[in-house]
Amino acid sequence: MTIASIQFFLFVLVATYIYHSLALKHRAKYLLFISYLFYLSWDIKYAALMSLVTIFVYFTALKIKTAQSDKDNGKLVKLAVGILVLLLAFYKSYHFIQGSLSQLSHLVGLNFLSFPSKIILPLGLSYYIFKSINYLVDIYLNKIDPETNFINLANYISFFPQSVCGPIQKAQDFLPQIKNLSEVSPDLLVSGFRLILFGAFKKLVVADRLFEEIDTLFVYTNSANGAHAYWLIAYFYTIQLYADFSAATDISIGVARLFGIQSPKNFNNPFYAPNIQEFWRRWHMTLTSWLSAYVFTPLWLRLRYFGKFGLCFAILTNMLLIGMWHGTHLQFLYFGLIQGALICVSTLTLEFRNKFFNRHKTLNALRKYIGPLITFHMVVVSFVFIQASSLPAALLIIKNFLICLRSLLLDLNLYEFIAKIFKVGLYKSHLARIFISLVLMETVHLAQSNLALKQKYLSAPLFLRWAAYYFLIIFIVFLSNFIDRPFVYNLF
Amino acid sequence: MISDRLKKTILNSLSLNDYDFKDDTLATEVPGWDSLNHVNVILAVEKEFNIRLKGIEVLRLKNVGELQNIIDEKLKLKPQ
Repeated sequence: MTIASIQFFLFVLVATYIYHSLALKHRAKYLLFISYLFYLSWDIKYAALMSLVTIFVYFTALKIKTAQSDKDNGKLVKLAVGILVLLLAFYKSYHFIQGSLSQLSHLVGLNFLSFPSKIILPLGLSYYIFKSINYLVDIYLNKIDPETNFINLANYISFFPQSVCGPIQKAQDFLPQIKNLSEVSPDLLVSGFRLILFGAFKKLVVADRLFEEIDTLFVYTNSANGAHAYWLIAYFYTIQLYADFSAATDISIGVARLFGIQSPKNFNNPFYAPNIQEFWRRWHMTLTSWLSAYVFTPLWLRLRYFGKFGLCFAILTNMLLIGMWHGTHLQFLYFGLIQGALICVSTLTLEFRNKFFNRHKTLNALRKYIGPLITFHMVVVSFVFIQASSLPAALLIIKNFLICLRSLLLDLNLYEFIAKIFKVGLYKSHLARIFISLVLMETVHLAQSNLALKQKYLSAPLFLRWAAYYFLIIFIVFLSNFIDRPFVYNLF
Repeated sequence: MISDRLKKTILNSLSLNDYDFKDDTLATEVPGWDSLNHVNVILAVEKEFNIRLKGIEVLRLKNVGELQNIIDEKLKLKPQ
């Protein structure tokens, strides 16, 4: 069951009802039970692997506490982190390993040995591996103490709302909450349900319907107006990915709130970012802050006397890892490299650009609007690498996207351009539906990030707030196909 | 307590005019003190106080007060 399915919603409702009828002292154990029940509903092997990782992390952490010296601690943490990274790398790059092992067995004459051509990445593996590394390294850095209660630690690693698509919560945020579970306030419960409803809207009405449009557009890519089909595909890919991933995060944060757990924010209006480095501070924020804390900062510290070269090396390594986190196929490496190069250029020229725009006031006023637009287009081009089925497919989309963009900007024949858009399988009624649902989605996003607006909404009369909820429900009922389509980020 | 010298070094490094630094001020609370600028601040501190900070010492810092403490310790150990 995906986390936008009716089955999952019913599972959460029943689990929440039982949770609230239990005495406080039993709630942590119960949370662990339902997390494992969720994993077991996918595959018993997933639950088994996660329990092994939990036991390993629990005892390693206690060992760090009792180690004789800081040097021993360092060695132990490096070894443990190495094992966890190897486990993740094994599953992420199995297609490479399988090819090499098969070739090797042929070379040495062990032809009878066979290796499965494909294995499924265990559900949520990268998320709980990252949480485990965070926990162990933060103990080593004296930021937290090891958790002696096994149930609490197991809850941190396996907490089911965060297991499918994150967010990657820090141990120092989660553990105090699970240790001090109290009655969940009605406000928190309502805000949880509100986020789940909004997440369901984004997934079922925006992301999944865009997915269908992309499917139709692909049929027209060989037509006379194929370039325009590709142009739309590139935009739709980006918006679909955002709606899909942020929907998963909203549902995850919302479900966690039903059990009294507050999770970190994972998105902060990324498409309004004025530059590419700011975009990465607003997109998948828990992954970027994790990598920043445990990869980028330590690496740049080590290379700090190499100046700009050290900085660029650390940025490129960081972004390559973000690319490889999505997978080890070539297109993901290109994605990481492109993002890394863009961030390097943007970071190194930022001071110069700031000075330039401060001297030219009119241009500076335009920069507020042009900056996010350019950043958005950088993202559109690079996200094609994540969504496309292969590297040649990604390059074909990008090539046609750029041809179209050039013709739109230079030929200035807007009427003809729009006419062609409606010749590639996109109906006017569909475009209107997409437009309205996007306006609705962005209105809610802006309201969520604007404290004054949020307060105004929360203090509005009850019937008005309920009218907004019914509005979303009506949208979901009438505009969704209710197909249990997996989230894109389930794959990672 | 945060010395004026450290305060000035951080402000210069982050191109800030002023900020009320306390012992428990976190880097994330200070405008512009993000992951990209963190190492710039450390480099500026090393240059200003003519000291070397180990990577692990920097990674273990929890707030500005701890940065001040570590600078004071390094300066005490420095031959006069």
